Amino acid sequence: MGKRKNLKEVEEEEFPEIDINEEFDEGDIESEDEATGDEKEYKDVDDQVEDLDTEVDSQASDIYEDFEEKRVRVLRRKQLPEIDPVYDSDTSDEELHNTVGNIPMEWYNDYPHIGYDVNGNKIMRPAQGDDLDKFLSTMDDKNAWRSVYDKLEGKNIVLNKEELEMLKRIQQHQFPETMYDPYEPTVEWFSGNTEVMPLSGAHEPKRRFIPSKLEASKIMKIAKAIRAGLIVPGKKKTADKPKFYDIWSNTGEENTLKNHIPAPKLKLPEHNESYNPPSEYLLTKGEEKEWEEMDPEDRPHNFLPKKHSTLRHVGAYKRFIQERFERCLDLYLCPRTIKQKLDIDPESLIPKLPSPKDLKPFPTKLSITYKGHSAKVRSFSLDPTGQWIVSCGDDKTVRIWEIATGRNLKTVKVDEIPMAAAWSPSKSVSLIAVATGEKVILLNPGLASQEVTETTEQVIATAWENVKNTGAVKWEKPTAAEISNGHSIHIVLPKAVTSIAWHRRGDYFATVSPDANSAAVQIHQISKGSTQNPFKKSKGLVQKVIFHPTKPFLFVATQRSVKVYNLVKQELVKKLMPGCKWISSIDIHPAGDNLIIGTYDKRIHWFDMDLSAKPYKTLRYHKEAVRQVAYHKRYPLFASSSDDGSVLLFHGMVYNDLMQNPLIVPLKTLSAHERVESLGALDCQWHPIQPWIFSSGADNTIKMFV
Amino acid sequence: MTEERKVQVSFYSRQSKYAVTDAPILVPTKLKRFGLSEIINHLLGLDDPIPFDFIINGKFLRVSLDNYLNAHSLSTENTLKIEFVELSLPPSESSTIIQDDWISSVKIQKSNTHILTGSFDSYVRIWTQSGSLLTSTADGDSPIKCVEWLNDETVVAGNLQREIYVYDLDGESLNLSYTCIGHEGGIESIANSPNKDHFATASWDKTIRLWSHLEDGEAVNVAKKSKKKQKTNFQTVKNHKICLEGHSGAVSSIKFDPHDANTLYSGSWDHSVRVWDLNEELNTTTMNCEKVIGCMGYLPESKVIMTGHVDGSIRLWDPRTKGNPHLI
Repeated sequence: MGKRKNLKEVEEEEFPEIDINEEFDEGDIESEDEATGDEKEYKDVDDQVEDLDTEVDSQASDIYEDFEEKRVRVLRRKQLPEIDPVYDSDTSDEELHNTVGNIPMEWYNDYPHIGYDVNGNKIMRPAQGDDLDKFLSTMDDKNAWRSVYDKLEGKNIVLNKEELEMLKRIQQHQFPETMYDPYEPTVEWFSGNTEVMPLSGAHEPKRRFIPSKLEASKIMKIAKAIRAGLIVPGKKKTADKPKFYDIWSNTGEENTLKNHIPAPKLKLPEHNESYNPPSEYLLTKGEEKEWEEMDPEDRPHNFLPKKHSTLRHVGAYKRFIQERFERCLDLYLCPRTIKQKLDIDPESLIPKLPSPKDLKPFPTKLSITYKGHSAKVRSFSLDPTGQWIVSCGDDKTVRIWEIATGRNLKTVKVDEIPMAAAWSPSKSVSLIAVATGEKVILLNPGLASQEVTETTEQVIATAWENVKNTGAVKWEKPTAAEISNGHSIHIVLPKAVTSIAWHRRGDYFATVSPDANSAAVQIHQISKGSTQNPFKKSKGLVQKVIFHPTKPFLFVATQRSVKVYNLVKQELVKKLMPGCKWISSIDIHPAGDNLIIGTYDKRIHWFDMDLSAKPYKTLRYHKEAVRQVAYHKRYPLFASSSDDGSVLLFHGMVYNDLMQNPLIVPLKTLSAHERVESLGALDCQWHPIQPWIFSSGADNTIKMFV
Repeated sequence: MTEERKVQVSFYSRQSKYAVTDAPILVPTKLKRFGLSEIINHLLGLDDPIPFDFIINGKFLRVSLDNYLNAHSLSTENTLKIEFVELSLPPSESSTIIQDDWISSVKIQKSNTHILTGSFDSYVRIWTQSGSLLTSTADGDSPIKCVEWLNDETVVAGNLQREIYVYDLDGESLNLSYTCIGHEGGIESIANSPNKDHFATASWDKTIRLWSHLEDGEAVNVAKKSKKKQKTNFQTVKNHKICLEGHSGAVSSIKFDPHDANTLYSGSWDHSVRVWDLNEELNTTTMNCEKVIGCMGYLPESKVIMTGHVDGSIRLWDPRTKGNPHLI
């Protein structure tokens, strides 16, 4: 028992120390010396044994036995017997008793046998104990650690050392066979060498002896290119790439940063900044004084040029630090962006407009200047037949002119500066409404035919019959002297009147008194001799009002918006927002669907009322505030006058087709009036029939352009 | 020494009294107007030399022939046709008649060469050629727009207030003969018929009216209501014989055809020139342009109508072709 235990201990100690190499080395040596070294080895081992003999006798003999057994087995393996290649020589299948094949063996679980042998006899299941027996046998059997249960046989198979080795090698991803050499030298069966006795007896292919087609086509390509002149033989390649390049050549700052924007450069010094400038650069006393008096920001230079004989005499510059600081501040604060240049042909951005030449007639030449006023002409109006003009001057006169000759036919003096005059649009009456101060005077110029004069007198007479004077607005009879001057009716309003607009029938007219909050807009009816206030509330600072040419609409232009009221239904129809600061003037297209607005912020806004409440187009052609805008009644023309003294003419075609937007073409700039006290052309009106424009200005004249 | 260049020229004149041979003459090219004039004088064999002016291709010769040939790159081989006319000096101002107010119209009497003016101060004045005022009169209070001599003793004036006054020049005074009533707009133009028995007026009321000078008028009270004094004022008044309607704008100017008392030309603010047949009272021809016609003239020799326009342009119309006018 003690021996067995010892043996087991030895075995257990020995197992982990199995050194395959050592063993193989041993084996190799042994196999090399197979023939000669057997006895010597034995002798060596015997010597060792003798040495150990005295110390551990029994243990030594066990090891020896084991060693012997191993050695024999290795030898046996190495010296496999020569196979005699006869029938029955292969005995590999004899070992297999069970013939059931590769099937799940649990099919036989319920049977006493586990299969059949070669002869068809049942192989009985070997006796198997329970788990305790198994455990005990495992504990007892010293080969239990290397035994594998073979299901087919139904018993344990003990693996020998070689098989264990094999498993170990497989686990280490090595070749299972020790003897296998994966790096054997290859035999070059098919080499470039011409063999006397080649392996293949095939004839050499024909292509070895005929010219290559591929090469021929390549050569033809080159030949064609040479013929076409694409390749010049013998020509040296011109652009020789330099073999080396200067890596320091582009070391400028611009390359070091992405999207770098260089700081704006300082201006180079000029002659007058020299320490010894030529004497013409030195300032005279007067100029010096002028320089001193100038505001530092307006000075052309921030220094006075001085002459020094030598550079040594130049004193320290007092403002040096200040200027450096300002420069740094400039660089720091200035917003710098890369200007994105668009590669677009600027011509293509301009809308295709017809040439003004094709849009004739329109006024081009100054024809008549109507001189007579001794102060600026604020406003004027043309009679519906196109024969007369009435004008309001700041010299407190209202003058009537003949258009064809420029003759001032009549002058009516008024007490206050007349702000506006408007000729009644009706051809059957001859009346002019003139706004002077708080008074609106209805004038009969007395130029019309007998018939019209009679009708006018009749209208005035009817008005006086109906006058009731109930409201704040009083209708007053002029004095006899005034009547002989042509005055027909005086209407006195609470506040000063600045603008007058007639209804197309000539019975109503509206007046604007911007200061009179809710009573800013008053509508006067001549036939009834009455005045009514259409708005109960103040609508803001009313600038102008106009009537719609066909519908019962009233356009009220306040400071920033235009409101359209239906006078019959008494409701707000629309509110137009031009987005400007101060509306100065308004006019409506004779068809009634388009509107132009002039503003004091230099713009003209065209509204298509079918489109939206925002301007269809905004024209920025004037350099100064726009004073008046006007449509022609017959021609597709409109004009604007401005404080810059110019009158601009536009072609404004409105199409009957609703799908087509109005066409607006700037036609001509008429530099009509000289600027006086920053006022230029104050009013412009079209002739009712001809394509002629009239403009009045701060230079006391009215001008006609044809 | 270069040889003197010479060119063959043939002279001709439209004035029959200066007829010369049209055979080509060889003249040196260095000659100017004076040299050529000497040649003509020599050809005509005039005792007192008359200065002549020369026209080549419709233009007066103002340089030497040499320069002219060079400027027009003409060869001296060809014969140059030169027209010559009697030299006339440009008109010079002989006297100035100063009036207080604008003058709207000036007409000259045929026989005595008195000058008739109409003024914006509503006066009609007659001046002698020396510049002294012969007589003046004012009946309306409205500017006179046009005046015309009907014959040597009769003048007619139209004013802005639709009134037409006919005056007889009796020695040194103008007597109102009759007034013509009917127009509803200012009178713009008066034209006298070539046979002097009637005259036509053009007005702002778009009509042209024909008045007979020979027929008697009727006495009518034309007291003015606008005046404070309601005085009775009997005047001989005539109504129009023919009223021509057709223009759609004010008629600014009318002219009779001097050879045909039946034809009247009119220019209007409606951009048209119309030809009227007075017998038929018909508008026979209408020609249009793009501009308002301000004034009109008729050239009886070439039968061409000239019109002046407000934009400063002048147009020539041929009433026979009825085509578009020629813009100058």
